[in-house]
Amino acid sequence: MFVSLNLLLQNIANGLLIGCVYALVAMGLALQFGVMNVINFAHGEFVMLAMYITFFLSFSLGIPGELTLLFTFPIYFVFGYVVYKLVIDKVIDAPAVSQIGITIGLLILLQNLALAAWKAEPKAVQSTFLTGKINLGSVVVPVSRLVTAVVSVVVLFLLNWVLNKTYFGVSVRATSDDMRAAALMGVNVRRMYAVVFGLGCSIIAIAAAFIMTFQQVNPLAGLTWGLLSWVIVAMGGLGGVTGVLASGLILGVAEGLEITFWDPRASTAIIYLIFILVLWFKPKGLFGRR
Amino acid sequence: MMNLSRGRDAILEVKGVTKRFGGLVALNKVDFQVFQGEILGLIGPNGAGKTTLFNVVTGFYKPESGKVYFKGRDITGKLPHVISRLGIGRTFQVVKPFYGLTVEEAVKVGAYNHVKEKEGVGRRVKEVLEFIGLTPLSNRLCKHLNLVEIKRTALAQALAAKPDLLLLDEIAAGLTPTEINELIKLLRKINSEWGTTLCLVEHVMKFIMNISQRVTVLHYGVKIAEGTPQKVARDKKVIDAYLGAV
Amino acid sequence: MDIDKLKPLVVFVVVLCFLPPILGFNNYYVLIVTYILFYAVVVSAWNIIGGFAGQLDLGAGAYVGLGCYAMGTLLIKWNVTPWIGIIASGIVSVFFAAVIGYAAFRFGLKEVWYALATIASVVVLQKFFLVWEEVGGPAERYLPVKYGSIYYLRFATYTPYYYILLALLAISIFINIWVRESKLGFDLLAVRENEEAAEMLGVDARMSKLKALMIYSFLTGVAGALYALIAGYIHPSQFDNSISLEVAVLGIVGGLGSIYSPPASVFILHTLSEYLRSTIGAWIPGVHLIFYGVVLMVTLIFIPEGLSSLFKKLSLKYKPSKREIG
Repeated sequence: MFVSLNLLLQNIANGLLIGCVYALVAMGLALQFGVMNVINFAHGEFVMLAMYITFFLSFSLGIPGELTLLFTFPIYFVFGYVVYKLVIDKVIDAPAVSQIGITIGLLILLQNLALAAWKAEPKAVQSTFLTGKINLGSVVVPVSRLVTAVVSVVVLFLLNWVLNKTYFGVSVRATSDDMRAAALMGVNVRRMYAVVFGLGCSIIAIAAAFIMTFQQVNPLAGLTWGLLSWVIVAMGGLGGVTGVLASGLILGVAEGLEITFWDPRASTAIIYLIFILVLWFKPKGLFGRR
Repeated sequence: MMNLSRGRDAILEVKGVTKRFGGLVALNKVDFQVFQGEILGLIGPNGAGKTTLFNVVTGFYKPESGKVYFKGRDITGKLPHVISRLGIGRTFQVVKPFYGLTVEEAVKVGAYNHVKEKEGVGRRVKEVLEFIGLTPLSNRLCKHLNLVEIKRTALAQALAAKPDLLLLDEIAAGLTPTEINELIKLLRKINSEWGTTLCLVEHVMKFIMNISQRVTVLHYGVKIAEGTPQKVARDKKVIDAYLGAV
Repeated sequence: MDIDKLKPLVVFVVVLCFLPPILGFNNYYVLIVTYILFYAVVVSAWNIIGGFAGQLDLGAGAYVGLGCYAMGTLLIKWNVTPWIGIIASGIVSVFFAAVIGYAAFRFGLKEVWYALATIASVVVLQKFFLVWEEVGGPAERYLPVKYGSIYYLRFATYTPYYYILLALLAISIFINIWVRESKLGFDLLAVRENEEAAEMLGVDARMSKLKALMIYSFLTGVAGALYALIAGYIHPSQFDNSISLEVAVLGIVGGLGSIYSPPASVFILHTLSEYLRSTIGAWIPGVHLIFYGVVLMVTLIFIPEGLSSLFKKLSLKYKPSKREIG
């Protein structure tokens, strides 16, 4: 099979850019699962819903998609906080099966609420500041994708700083290390869980606002985002921000290569293939919880 | 070597076992024997590698180097259920009972995997429940048991599998002195009447010094002392290890 | 096996035999109850891996899809009777499940990772059949239209399928009872409660889980073949992850590990959801699924043991029990 070098470079560039976003989306999950050990099977649906809210606000207020972040960031924090308190907190001490089960319920609920509200046709944001293209040699890079990638990386490292250098971050990590000790030191563990869950959701909101500058959303989009995030967390979620970023980039590039050399219709299949390989090569026990 | 160990067969023999977790050496070239029919105490401060040693013996961890022999047979790296079927039983440090099963059903699991004919299973279950004194509770769900009953059930489950060697991980933890005395009586009965060799990991010193015929001390993955309880209690290295750990 | 244990099964099946006549053989209603039976079969089979073994399997969509394609391809390409095709469907599903399951259990995949690996298998198969033009491809492939033929197992009404699925449900429940009473059942329950402790009692955890998975995937594959016969065509969309999710929802809501509650819950919940869909589904698409999502969350918060605990309380009111039931 003949593949032009141009096409290959173009797809790798696209892969690297989208990989940064993948990492940001997965970071929300890495916070919730990797740090706090909360299983959220509906993570992808949270992403999908955030994309719809971006679309909705942009459409009804007539503002560019990326500006909706001013609203979606706080809205999603509250949303995450409330979902945690109302739903996940009820099963936080129950076996993992209950946590998976209840978030599967959430998944089905959010997916079909989106279907009811916006129907099955894909929706796209009409206006954005991020238009135009940049030529880097033979590779063409849309401004929207480039900015999105840069924002993703910046947010990731900002988060890294928060987790490692601030009082808040240190108490989060202390809680994840030893819940009982943290409780004795005066940390309200339950509220900490809710806050971190909310923060994880806010990160999703940032990602969603920028993804909508170059992608459409439909009610079924969540599943792919969810699986993608879990794959990244499996690959590098416990290794902190750099691990997540590296895993995101690997996935993005792998997808780019798949599109170049095989069938674009099967592009999501490559993610699952990587997922299986990761599970295969990581030593036993790393994946079991508790 | 101690007199009481001479001339007896080792039922379990651990030779030069090393186990690492990343940079941490949990067990460092540990040699360790359990003799046929004895009650052995395995002690050591927190992080000494006692539970790790149990996990290596029962096949949950594979050691980086060294061998484990059971009744003269190399069992290094075999799967836990295979080791169980060869005749090693175990209770766990954090006892997580089979919540959804009744006591009788829980004990049946052990019996099913070790008794060939179907009628034998029921007989074995009955026998063990009677011996441990759990018959009145046999139809109770495990989630409705108290701590003493949970520990007795765990013991009954393990015994139903007819082990020649039983490893008990902190079975006395959380019990009152009266309950511990009861437990000592029961364990001695298991040892003398059924001939089961016992190896106990324990923090409760009074308990271990009372019940053990022989004691082995681990400290940071190294065996530092071995002998009768009286001798070990006077050993300088042991005293240092415990005081240093406080 | 204790004959007494089979009495409820006989009652269950005999009662269901009268359902189509009660519905006046109305084709639309019979179709609805036929779909209910399809889900009841899969949920009852799922109980073996999900309820007994405690593995949250989301691969039902894959086994249903493989069932559709195995039977459908044999029939369309080589004119093989579905009677053989149905069995072949079960075997193909088992084969696939065994490969996935062996790897998953060998590498210790549990909980969320097992759930993800199984739902990923549904998506991968769907893409695979979409790209594989010889057998799959994006267009529907229709089964031969030979109504009233026993050889082709194609009928002008849905009633025959209803009775075939009812027989399959009886088999599935019978297998549930048999597993629960056998050594395998005890091994699975022990693995569900505490895998390490179970292994230390001599339970081969990997093998028991694999056996449970194979029983479940066989029944689901067979049900999948019937699904395709009812639909009349095969298409990659039959690798449907919403089937996976729905089955898990019904299994959990019904009560993990209880034998009659999960299929009984399918009848109750599916009827309610079908009612919702036919009444307000036109205004609110997906309303029946919203209902499922809410029911699942509410159940897990308020009655974590599922509807089976409610059924049990009801039956205890009328019949004092001699022992606690696990």
